Amino acid sequence: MIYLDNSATTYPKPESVREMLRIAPIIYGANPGRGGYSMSNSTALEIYKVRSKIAEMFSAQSEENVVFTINCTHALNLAIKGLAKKGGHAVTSCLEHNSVMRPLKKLQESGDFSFDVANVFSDDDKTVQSFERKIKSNTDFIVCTYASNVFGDILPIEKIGKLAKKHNIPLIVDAAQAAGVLDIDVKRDNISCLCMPGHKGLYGPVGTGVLVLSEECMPDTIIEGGTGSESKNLLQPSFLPDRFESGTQNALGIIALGKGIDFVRREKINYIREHENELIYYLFNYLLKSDSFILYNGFDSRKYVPILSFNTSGLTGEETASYLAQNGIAVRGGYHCNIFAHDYYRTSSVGTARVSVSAFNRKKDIDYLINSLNKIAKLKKV
Amino acid sequence: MGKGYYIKVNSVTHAIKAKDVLNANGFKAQVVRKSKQGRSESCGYSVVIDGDITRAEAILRNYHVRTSGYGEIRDKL
Repeated sequence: MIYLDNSATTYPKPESVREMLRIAPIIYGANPGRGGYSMSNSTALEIYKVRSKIAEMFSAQSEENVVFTINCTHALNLAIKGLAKKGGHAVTSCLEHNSVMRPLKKLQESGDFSFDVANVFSDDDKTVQSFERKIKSNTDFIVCTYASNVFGDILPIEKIGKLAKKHNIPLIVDAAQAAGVLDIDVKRDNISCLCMPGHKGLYGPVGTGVLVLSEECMPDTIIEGGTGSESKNLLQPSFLPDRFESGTQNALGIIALGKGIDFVRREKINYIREHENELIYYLFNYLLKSDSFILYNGFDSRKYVPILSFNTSGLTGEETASYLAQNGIAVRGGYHCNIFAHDYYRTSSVGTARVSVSAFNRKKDIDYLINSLNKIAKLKKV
Repeated sequence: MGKGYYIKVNSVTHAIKAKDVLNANGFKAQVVRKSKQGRSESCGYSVVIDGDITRAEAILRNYHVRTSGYGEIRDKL
C-alpha cells in the first residue's frame, strides 16, 4: 500500500515508536501516580519526560501546563466547553473541522451561547480584520485552526494571537495539522489553549492528544474523577495537570508518543516540512498541467501546510479515492469531517480527494500515484 | 550530612518536577510515597532531601513548583 493519508494519522510510525509500543506494556505496565512501587514510579517518570519534551517543543510555561488527552478533539472539547460561559459568545473561522464546530453547535443549542464565523483570506491582515469585526463585548474566546485539514491554508495565528491579547480574550488553537509541521510557540503566538493530536505530525500512536494551557488560562472542567491526588477531597483538584487528567491515562501511548517527538526533533520540523512540500509540489505540478484534474489553491509553502485537495473532472472526491484504493493507494476522499471548509471552497457537492504526506513518503510514492491518476484520466476520456 | 526533610507535594507530576529542580541545584532528592497521610495531605508522594530546607523551598518557589509544606524525616514516612 502507498499511504498518502497522513493527515488522518501518520503511517508508518518510526521504528522507535513501534518498539516502545511493544516493550512498554512489559516495563511500564503499572498505573502512574497511583502507587509507590517501582513500576508505578518509573511509568510516572517516563510520562513526566514526555511532558518536558512537549513543554520545550511548544514553549509551554512548564511541564504542568501540558495536559494529556485521548486526541485533539478531546483537547478541543476541554478548552471550548471549559471556557464557554452562559450568555457567552465565540469567534471561529470558516475553515473549521467538526471537532470545533460540533462543540460550538452543541453550546449554541443550549440556547444561551452564540458564535460568529470569520472568513479567511489570502491577505492575512484581511483575515485578522474579519476576526476583529466578529468580536463582541460578551466574546469568551476565539477558536480556530492553525492550518486547514482539507485545503492546507495556514491561518495567521501570531496576528490572531495579538488580536486576542488586545481584546483580552483567550485563543484556542486546533493544531491537528500543524503540530510537528510548523514552528508553534504558545508564548509568541499568545495561544491560551493549544490542542493537538499525538498521532499525526508528532508520530505517536492513536489514542494520544495534548492540551497545552497558558498560565493565565484555567477553563472549567467538563470531566471529573480520580487523579491520584487529593483523594480525600471530593472536589476536583484546581492545579495542573491533574485538573484535566481524570481517570487512568494512556500511559503506554504517551510514553510511545515521547519517542515520536524524539523522531521529529531529530529529523527537525523544518526539514520534515521541506521534504513534504517538495513531494506535494511535485504532485501539484503534475495536476496543474493536466486538464483532467481540478485544483483549488496555488502552491505557496508559506501559506499552506503540505496537504493537497483536488478532484478528477466529472468524479467526486470519494470516487477518485475509491479508484486509488483499488490500486493500492490510500488517500482520503469526501468531506474530511469539515463541510464548513468545503462550503467555503464551493466543493460541498463533490468533496475532494486529499493527499497528505509524511517524513516517510518518497518521490516514488508520488510517481505511483501519478501513474494511477494517469489511468483515471485516460478512463475518463474514453 | 544535614537534617532530612520530606517536602509535601500535590501530585506525582509536581513530585518529579521538584526532584529534578532540587537535583539540578545540588540536592540529593528522591520521590517517595508516604505510608501515613493526614486528611489535609495530598497525593501521597513527597520529595525527600538532606540539607537546607529553607534553601530548598526557596529554589522550588523560584521554579514555580507547588508544594504544601514539609516535615522532618524523623516523622514516620
